[in-house]
Amino acid sequence: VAKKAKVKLGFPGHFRVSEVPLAAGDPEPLAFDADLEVIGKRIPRVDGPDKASGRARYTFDLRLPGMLHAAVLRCPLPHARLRRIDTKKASSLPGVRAVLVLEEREYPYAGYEVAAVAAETLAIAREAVRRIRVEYEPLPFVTDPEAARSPGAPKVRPSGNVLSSAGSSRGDLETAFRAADASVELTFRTPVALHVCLEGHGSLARWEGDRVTVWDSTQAVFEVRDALARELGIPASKVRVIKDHAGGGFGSKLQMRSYTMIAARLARMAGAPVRLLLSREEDFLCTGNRHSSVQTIRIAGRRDGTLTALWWKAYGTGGVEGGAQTSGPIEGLYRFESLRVEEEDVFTHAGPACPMRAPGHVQGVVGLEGAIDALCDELGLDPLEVRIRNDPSQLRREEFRVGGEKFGWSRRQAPGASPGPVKRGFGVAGTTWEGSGIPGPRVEIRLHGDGSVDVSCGTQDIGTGTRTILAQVVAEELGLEAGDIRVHLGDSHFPYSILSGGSLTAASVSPPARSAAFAARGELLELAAPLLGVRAEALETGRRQVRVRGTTRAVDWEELLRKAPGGAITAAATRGPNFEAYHPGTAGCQFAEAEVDVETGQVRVTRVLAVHDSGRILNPLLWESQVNGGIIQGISYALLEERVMDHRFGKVLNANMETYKVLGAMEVPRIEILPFPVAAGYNNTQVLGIGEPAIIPTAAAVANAVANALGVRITELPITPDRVIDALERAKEKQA
Amino acid sequence: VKAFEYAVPASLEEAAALLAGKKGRARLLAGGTDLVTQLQGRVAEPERVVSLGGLPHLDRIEPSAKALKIGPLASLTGIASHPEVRKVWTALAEGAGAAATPQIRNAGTLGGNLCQRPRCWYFRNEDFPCRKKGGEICYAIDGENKYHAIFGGDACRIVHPSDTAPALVAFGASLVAVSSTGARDVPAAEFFTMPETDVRRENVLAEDEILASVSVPRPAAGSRSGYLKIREKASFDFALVSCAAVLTFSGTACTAARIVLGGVAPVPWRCPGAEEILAGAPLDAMRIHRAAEAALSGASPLAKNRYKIAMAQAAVRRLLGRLIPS
Repeated sequence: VAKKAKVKLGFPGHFRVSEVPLAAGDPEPLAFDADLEVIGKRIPRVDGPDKASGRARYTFDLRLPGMLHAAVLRCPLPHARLRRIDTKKASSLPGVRAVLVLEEREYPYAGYEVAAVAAETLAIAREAVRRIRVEYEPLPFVTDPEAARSPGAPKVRPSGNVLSSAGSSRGDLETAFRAADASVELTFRTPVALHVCLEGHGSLARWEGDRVTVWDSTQAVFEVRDALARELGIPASKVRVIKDHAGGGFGSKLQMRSYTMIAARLARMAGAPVRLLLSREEDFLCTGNRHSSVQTIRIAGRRDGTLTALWWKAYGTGGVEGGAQTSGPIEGLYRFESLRVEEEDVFTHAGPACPMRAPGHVQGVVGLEGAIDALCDELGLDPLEVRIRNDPSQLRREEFRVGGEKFGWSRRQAPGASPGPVKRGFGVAGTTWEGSGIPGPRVEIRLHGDGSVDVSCGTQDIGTGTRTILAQVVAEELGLEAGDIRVHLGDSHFPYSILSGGSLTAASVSPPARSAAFAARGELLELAAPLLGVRAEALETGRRQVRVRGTTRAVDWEELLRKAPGGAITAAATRGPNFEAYHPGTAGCQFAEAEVDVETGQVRVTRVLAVHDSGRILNPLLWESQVNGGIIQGISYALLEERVMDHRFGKVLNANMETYKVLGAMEVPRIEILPFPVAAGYNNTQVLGIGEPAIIPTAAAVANAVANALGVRITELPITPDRVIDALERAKEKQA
Repeated sequence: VKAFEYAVPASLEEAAALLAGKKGRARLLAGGTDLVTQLQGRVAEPERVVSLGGLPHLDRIEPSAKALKIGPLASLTGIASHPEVRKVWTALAEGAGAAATPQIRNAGTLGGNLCQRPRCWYFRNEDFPCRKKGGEICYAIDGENKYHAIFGGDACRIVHPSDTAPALVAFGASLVAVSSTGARDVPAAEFFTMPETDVRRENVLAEDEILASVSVPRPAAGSRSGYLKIREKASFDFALVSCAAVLTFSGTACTAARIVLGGVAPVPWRCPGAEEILAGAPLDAMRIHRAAEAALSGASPLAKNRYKIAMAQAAVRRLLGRLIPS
């Protein structure tokens, strides 16, 4: 008979109690108001000292005896076929140990890999690459998505450059627009943006016999293992992928890219370990990006603030890769009686898009929230009130209210009413994201006689603090401190876990960590029960001791574990399916204040208030760090970041950190974060992810604040000074 | 980086001889903040790099009753933080302090800042054989030209990237160029050259010449100066537009004015029309407005940089407004 547990779901004032199934051997879900010692505490990240002191080793820091360095020859043309290649002058260069010509003969974007060299130094490898003689046959290309949509454009895929997809559709759109008190139509444009991981992409490969180990800068050791095995034609059991620390991924390291395969092949050819680290330029051209979008949005509403109709026509390009949809957040955020979504994926001869922190949502919310504000301006309504009126989520409505009050939303002025030349405006936007975790990850734990614990899991800490939260969850269950727990991650030899993306990690690995600790604790108590002459149920664990509850009668772990085989207790648990949830994923909202200089066009974000929920907050310090990071990355996207392509030549002009501009410390505003604790359900820790929710509303809130300041809406991101000046001049001409 | 021979001369004369011996295939190294990136990007492939690091006394910053003498190896930080330079030659100190980042200002030198190569993304990209690199085309004119010049012709539309050059031109500084055969004085205004003179160079230095010193005359009594830089990021960013101004006042009346714009032309762009409007009367809002408009007269923006006109006018107005004696 399956056991059941009662859980309280919701948030203060809105609780309900529900019964959820309990898998055999699983602990009951942590109660919302449980009195906890380690979980929920501001514990500094356990690997912080290693990172601060340089002891933490990133892929870029690794050096093995006899290691060779690799460099890659990349096609300089946006579309070309290989006519001839001559590697003799590269092979004959002293110090060169292997030259690899890749099998592809047609290159779909500038920067695509053609050949690679392994040599004793990086300088020799790079020089050898320059000595490879290549003759390309230039092929027709198109990098501008608008041009790529027109008939007769050079084809990126044999099936054509446009892939249409119809999203949700309901209601009678035409009637709804006719019946509305007001409607507006706007076209929003968002740029191709880049992940800009501080640690670039790279891999180090070493063969021992027919087995290969790669140290890869990745968010997904098991995905890389399987993909590399496929590429090399060997069983996955012969591939080991390790990733100790990562300097950022943001989605760009969720899949194996060619550099891993090239390093492994060169290492096999040369009979020596090979390290291939991409330069910043290569990183920017070849390892993924956030797709662009052009969103034409028609929105209608009534005078009472009811949103009635939305017509969403959008396209975007992810270069040679698909997935350029932006309508994802619509359904989660606001109710529309009538809705039509039409989207197109446009393929171009440019580097591939890949997931980037809340893919599609960041772009889509810019359009959706911008359109709602434009409609509010048209109807003379308060954008915050309109959002609260149309938001189906009780949770987010409350967050909008609490945030608005804290932010001082009532001081918001009418659009453009702020006196110049530096005008101030307020903006707001909401977020919706799943992030509830998935079944599959397995965590193994070992209890030792000295009271320490080893925790192993094949998940990876991509800088979010996974090591620390797992230490906290295990320590809580065993009556230990986080410092007693050693957490081992990022190795495909450890028990399986999922990739670190989609804000899934905390919600997917903290429950099995707790279950494994719970099971180990049970075994420990069973060992202690006969010694203390009571039943296991009467016992509790403390630091290095098992006690009879309510007494001082105790037995040391050391003594107990001497009786265990090998002197340790080992237990493991696998993440089961989600159970009932209070709310679909996370809600949340952000408020921004911006100052716009109408003469110089400069925009400064002066204040952001973020209200977020993600179930139980395991560690407020790490949680706030994620929210800060999301906001900073979001402002950067709103104001600065844009990959610039010269479509005449199909070449990226700013594949560097001088002209691909990223927000600096001086542009970071005052950030206030209001955590909104929720009894979320879903899993036994009741944790949800916060990584992606934190970036989703930022750019939209900033763009809305700029529009509120100016009384003129800038619908193209990033909002750079030239765009502000041009938009104000256009508005002036229109008036005149 | 292409392999090169590295020379560390003990005197300026020796350095000049080392340059002369390579006939244009040698490059000078001071702070290295620009040259190293040129080498890495293969924008420069010299056979010899001549380091000035070993030369004594080239980093002096010496104000006197007549002029401020600065050695080419003086750091931007040294200039920006020098109390007397800040007080008397304010526009220069502000320009030096507005460049790059603290770290780069510590390593970067005045000579390097004046002789740095342009930031144009076609010039800096090995794959674009632009006119500045001996090719036939200025890719910016019909291309991505948001950061490019709004003054100038069809030869090349770079902007001069220096934050110290506009102030030096405004102060009427004079530069000394030495070669293995002698030395010559060059006024700052004539030091920088338009692409029409020689598209491959941004200044008058010959292949074997070294910028050996800078002399900035002490401004007349009653002078005030400043530098205003408008950029996309508050740090680590080149100017979209900038403005250096040196104004001399008698009471509230402006008796002389020098206005020089940065970020708008291949050279620091002097604005005689604006200067004429400003000299001879008290500065009021109307006069400042007219001067700002005059400063940008004759601009011929490209498709994506028209905004620079309004922005540069704003820079002129803001800076002048700041310099009016209270």
